[in-house]
Amino acid sequence: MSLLHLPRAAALPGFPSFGRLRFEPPRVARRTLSNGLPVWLVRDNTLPVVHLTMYFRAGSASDPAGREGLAHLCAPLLRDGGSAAWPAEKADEKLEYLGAEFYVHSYTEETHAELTALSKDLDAALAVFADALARPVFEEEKTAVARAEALELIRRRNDYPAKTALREARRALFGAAHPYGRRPEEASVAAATRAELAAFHSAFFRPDNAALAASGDFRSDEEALEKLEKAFGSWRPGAAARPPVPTPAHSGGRRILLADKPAAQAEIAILQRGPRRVSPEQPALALLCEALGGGFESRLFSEVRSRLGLAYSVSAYPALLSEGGFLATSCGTAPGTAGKALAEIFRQLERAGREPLPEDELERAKNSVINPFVFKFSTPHRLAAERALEEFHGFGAGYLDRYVDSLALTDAAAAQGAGRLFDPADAVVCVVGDAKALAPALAGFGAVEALAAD
Amino acid sequence: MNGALPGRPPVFERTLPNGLRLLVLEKTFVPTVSFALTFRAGNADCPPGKTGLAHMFEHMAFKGTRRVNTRDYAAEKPLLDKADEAALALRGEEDKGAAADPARLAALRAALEKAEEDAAAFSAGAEFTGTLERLGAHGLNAYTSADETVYHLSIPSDRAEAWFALEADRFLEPVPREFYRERSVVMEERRMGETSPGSVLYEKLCAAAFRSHPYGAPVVGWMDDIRRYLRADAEAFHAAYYVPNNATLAAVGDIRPAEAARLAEKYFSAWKPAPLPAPGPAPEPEQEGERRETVPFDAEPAFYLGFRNPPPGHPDEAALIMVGEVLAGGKTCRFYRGLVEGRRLALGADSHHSLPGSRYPSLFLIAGTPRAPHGCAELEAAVWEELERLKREPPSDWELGKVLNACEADIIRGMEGNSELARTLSRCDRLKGNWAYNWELLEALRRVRPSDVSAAAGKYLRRERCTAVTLARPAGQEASA
Repeated sequence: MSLLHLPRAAALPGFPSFGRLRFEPPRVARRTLSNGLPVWLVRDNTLPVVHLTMYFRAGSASDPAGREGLAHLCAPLLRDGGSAAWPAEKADEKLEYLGAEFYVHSYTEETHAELTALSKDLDAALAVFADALARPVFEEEKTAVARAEALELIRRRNDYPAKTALREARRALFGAAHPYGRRPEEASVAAATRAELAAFHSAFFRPDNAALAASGDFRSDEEALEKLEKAFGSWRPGAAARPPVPTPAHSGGRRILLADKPAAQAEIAILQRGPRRVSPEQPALALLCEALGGGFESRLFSEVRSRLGLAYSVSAYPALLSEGGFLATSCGTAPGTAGKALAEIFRQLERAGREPLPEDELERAKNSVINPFVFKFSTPHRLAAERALEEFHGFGAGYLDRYVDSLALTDAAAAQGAGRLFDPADAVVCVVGDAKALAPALAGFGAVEALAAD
Repeated sequence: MNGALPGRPPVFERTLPNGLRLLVLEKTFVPTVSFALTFRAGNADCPPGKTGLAHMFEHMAFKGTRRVNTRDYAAEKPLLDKADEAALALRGEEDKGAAADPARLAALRAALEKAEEDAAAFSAGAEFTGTLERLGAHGLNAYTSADETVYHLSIPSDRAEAWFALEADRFLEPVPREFYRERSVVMEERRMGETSPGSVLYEKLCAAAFRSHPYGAPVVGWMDDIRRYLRADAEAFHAAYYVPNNATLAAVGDIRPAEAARLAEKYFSAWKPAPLPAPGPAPEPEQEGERRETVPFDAEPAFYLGFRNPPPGHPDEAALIMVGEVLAGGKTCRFYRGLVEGRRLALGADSHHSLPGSRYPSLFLIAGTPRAPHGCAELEAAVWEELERLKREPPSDWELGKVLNACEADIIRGMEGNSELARTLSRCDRLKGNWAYNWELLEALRRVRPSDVSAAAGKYLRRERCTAVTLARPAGQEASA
């Protein structure tokens, strides 16, 4: 690794100089329970806390047709809906009296169940957690409350324009019926029955479709595994296959969608197709996104925000999905300056595609991504989680150990290859704001389609 | 550890001769260190006409110094002064409002833009932030509140000295360059808030509850104040409040206390202390009775109730914190069981015991989000019923025990991550005079009896102390987008 060439700040008297950081994340042994559930365990006795995160390969992409929203309804009910051994009220009271925290969040292809408890309460909390994940019962009242909440969130889904812009751009990019593009609707959520929720859970929430990261104040690894075996051992494997993911609807060209919502600021979301999560292009893509839209020195930040003063919030990041994710570039700006902001953003996207990254920018991007690598492992639980996700995401053991080199060895040509993904000629643009003010400015970038309010 | 609850962590403390407080806690799970530098300077220290100035300076603190972010300060300085003159001229014309001459305005704006472009020729880009990012800084950021401004980041520990060098330089000799461009960025930040129903409603609550005290002003500032900022305003704010005797630096992670002290002394000793401006704003007058306002906005309905709190440090404070937790903590609380479940009136009902800050008398906030077809009026009535019930019927020992256990677990969890802990320690030290404030607060909460909780609810959660703001679509407007 070359010595970092410091910029002029080295003119500060006595400013020290540094090379690139070498950090090798600790290995974590892969264990398994008798039912096949893989476990990554990191014992640390500094604080009397334990953490468990159970990852499931189940999310909104697995919703059956006509039941969009099922996964997002099922997830919170694992926590709130009661289980075979724990009526919901008793589970709530038990956990809350212990000061333990138990959350379940669902995403497109994953659901995460997290438990945090003081180590003295591990047995009690673990009993509730395991029963909830393996044997939920979806109590009627709790299901009604969760459904009511989901319906209310649909009513409120356009209250925050930045969320609308991103959601609708995604829907257009993948297709309204596509597993990655769908959104829950009142009809599909209202129609979901308790039996369907139970069937969804039974199909996907299985130990052979899951991975567990566990960390904290265990007396020993052996004792920890014994407790986990006792809690989860009777949970039987037998997960259903995930539905296939078709090709996205948007195959090329530029679409511009405009949703009318007068407000002080217009929200712009530009989505472009990305590679699969496991792809040799990911390191180059990470570096390009960093150069383009990550951090204070990135092109979007320094041009659209610092130099032109057009936005407070402007960024670009890659969203990873197993069968092909997307690049999201977003910006909030006053309606009167949306045209100017969009022109500058397109100019930067085009540059990213057309010109190889200059050496200094590539070097900056590498340092900005590589040097903070250590922070992925900043706590025992983050270490356990990262090692669990290596396998869970399909990267294979050793991915994290090769990660830094894969970035460091990316040359300008490889980065430029990934740059073709940023060509603004191929993009779905969604703008949410005052349509009367925005339509003329946007017309300069292509045909503008009005997006219905819903 | 094996189950035993920890006592207070072994935080090393030192006060430098110039008044800078240093706190260090060594934790070596990974070779990184997190820094948090808290200044007791926030929106509450901004006078009328200059609301948001503390936040504006926070932005400026990333723009470099006489040495960093500049190719040649001697050449740059007169160009920065020229930009100030252009800004002053523009402001003079803008202040005429409707009587301003559009052609002259356009010319003055172009002149300001040109002047800043000329000055920018001597700028060295984002050298301050760029240097830190390349060194591996993580979470480099800052925030401003009504009470304080906090600068924080985490960095691999072998390069901690680089941070000390840059951070000291940053506050000893800042140069608020690119000021007028950044003022535009802050205007966009403000517009971002104006586009958010939650932000708009909260802004209205504070403005309605505090008619003279600066807690009534939004932290980002009113738009007309932002428009009128001059670079000298930011410099004056820095000169008044960014002194070492107004700051606490916390370092948590892979750093030895002796080494941190050595580096603090090496780099921060040149920072001169100064007396702070005369003590604060006049107190907000007593509220004369219930206040109610409606905020028209294109979003689904919601409301806030803000009740006037007793002054900070008042004996009733601990009981009031308990009131909030009993009403709105978790899913076994009064609001969730009664209003989200039970009567199913609400998507959510929450509380916060001290907003927008806690240096001055603040608000006890209750937030309500109704579930269609129920509206704010119905949910608010139900909230008042819960408040009256709490005033009549003290909470059970179980309810209080739950809150105490949750607080204890929170304190312990708060010690896991370096960055969060650094911010907590530095903030508590600077604002409460005690880095162990949360531990002491827990002890105070343990002494609260059920009858104290009911008494506090009865004393403070009253109509005449309440400001209610409700967000609703303008009459006749359909949902858009």
